[in-house]
Amino acid sequence: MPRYRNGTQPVPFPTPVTQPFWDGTKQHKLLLQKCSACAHVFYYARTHCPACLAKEFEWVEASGRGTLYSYTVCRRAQSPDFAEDTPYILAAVTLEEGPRMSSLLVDADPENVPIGGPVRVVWDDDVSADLAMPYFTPA
Amino acid sequence: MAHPIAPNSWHRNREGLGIWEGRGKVVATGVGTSPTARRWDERPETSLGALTIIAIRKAIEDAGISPDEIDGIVLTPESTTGVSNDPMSPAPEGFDQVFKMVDFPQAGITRGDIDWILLNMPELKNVEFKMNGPVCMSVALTTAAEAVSRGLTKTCLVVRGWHNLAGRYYVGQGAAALNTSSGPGKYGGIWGMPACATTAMIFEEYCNKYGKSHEMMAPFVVEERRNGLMNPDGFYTQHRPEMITVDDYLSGRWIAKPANIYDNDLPIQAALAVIFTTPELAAHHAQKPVYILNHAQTRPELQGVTPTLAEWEASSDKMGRMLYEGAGIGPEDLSFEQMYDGFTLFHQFHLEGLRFASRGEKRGYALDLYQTDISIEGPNPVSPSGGNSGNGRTRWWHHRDCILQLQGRSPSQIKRKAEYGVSGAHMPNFCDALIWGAGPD
Repeated sequence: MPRYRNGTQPVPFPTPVTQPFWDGTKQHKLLLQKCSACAHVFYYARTHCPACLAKEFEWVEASGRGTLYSYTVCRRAQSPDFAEDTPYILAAVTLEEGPRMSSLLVDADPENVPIGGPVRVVWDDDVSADLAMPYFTPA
Repeated sequence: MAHPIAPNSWHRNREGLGIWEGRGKVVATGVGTSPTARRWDERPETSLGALTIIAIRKAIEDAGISPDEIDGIVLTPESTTGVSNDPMSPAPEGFDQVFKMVDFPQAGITRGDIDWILLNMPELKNVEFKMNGPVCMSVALTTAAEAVSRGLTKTCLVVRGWHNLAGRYYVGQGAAALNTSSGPGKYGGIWGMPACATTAMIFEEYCNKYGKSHEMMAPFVVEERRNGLMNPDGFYTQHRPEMITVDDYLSGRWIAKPANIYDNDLPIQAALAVIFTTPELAAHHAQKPVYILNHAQTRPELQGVTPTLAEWEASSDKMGRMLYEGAGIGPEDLSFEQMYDGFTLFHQFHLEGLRFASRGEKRGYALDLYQTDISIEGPNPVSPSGGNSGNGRTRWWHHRDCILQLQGRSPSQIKRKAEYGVSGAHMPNFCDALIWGAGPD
């Protein structure tokens, strides 16, 4: 599988609440929470529904498709870990299922990134033995 | 010792509250500003604490009062927004020979502390009211305004200092300096988002929605540097007295495009103290009283991990409505606008929320306004202090200058008559702001 990053990548540290999400990434599944009470679909992982506060939910697999909500092209790394990756495109993606998530836009021209354009998830397995990182690329 | 913060009941964070009960009962008089520095050189006499003492003594002198008259302090303890020393990290050698120490060694170095100030300023012997205004000078100012209006303190110092140590501001400074983002910070940093990235994304969204461009920011940023260079207390005046041009701005290196180096404010060391009192007591102060006509607060109501354009616009719109309702004025009454600018790319969200210089427009007009005369000589002075962008990161230049403008003694005094001003910080959805008036009405 492709590796999209060059630096010493910080690895996510799953918590009990986020563990199912990161477990899903290992199988290339983008998992979201769906409220059992009101059917609201949400990301990031939480203990209760942000729409109705119900505590019952199920994990559902997202299509991995969405649209680019906004972006910024990072040319000064946030930390030395990212220095070899510049320029990289930080993206806010609106998933088909509704939630919006932060990620990187990869395999894209930093000078030509269309807001509102279709994107799809791609996976970087070369991060950790326990998880993969979900990035997005123009569809 | 931990001191209390303002209870929620002091917050004016919703519409329908009517005219502020404290309107016309609180004034600002004396202002004291320390020298600035890019970073701390580890000498006790240039430390955050030393600068804070300088600022307080200058404010008292500026007001022409005795230290005996000070009976309250509201202070912002946080003195950086970056990553810095643990509070229990030892002080550099010799620091305790110059200053008396409290129960944590970083007091006066990387954290402001009321008890440390009182211990090292024996002339402040009548201080009874002590309260922290966390995170931002704007919180300290609105807290002190409520405290004076409620009669809890009659003559109150409002204080905030900033430190800046060697090292990467958001990665680690001093004892916290790291070469990587390992440790607890790594989870939040998995996407490599620099501090300005969220603002850059929302600014991109703004440009996309309203058909604007980053180039349109140039007149505003250049004007801010011009205004800042009129301020003898500003960092650039004291250390880098160089004007920038539109070409400089347009060729500035990108940090997180569309945020470039000039859209990011420069961390510095500095301290400010302001004196709040009642109109009656201000009668014998040396400086003209500036009235606080209202204050208001917004706090994030995020729908996701990061805020959106819609959320920032809704929150800053609400701030505008709350401020005008409680002050009993409207946007047409403002003589100038001084909302927060560090990062420069979110200043227009504040400005548009206030409808400053609007000709009926609600949103998407600020960058067009920047192409008109927004100078101190013009009809619509925008950020006459120069803000963080023109003076260095403090989050208080614009507050300070509201007082000076309405007293008629700002180094960048606007040419039109200064009657009402507005200042606030920090984010468009996390803001404490004040309406200031030259008179009580």
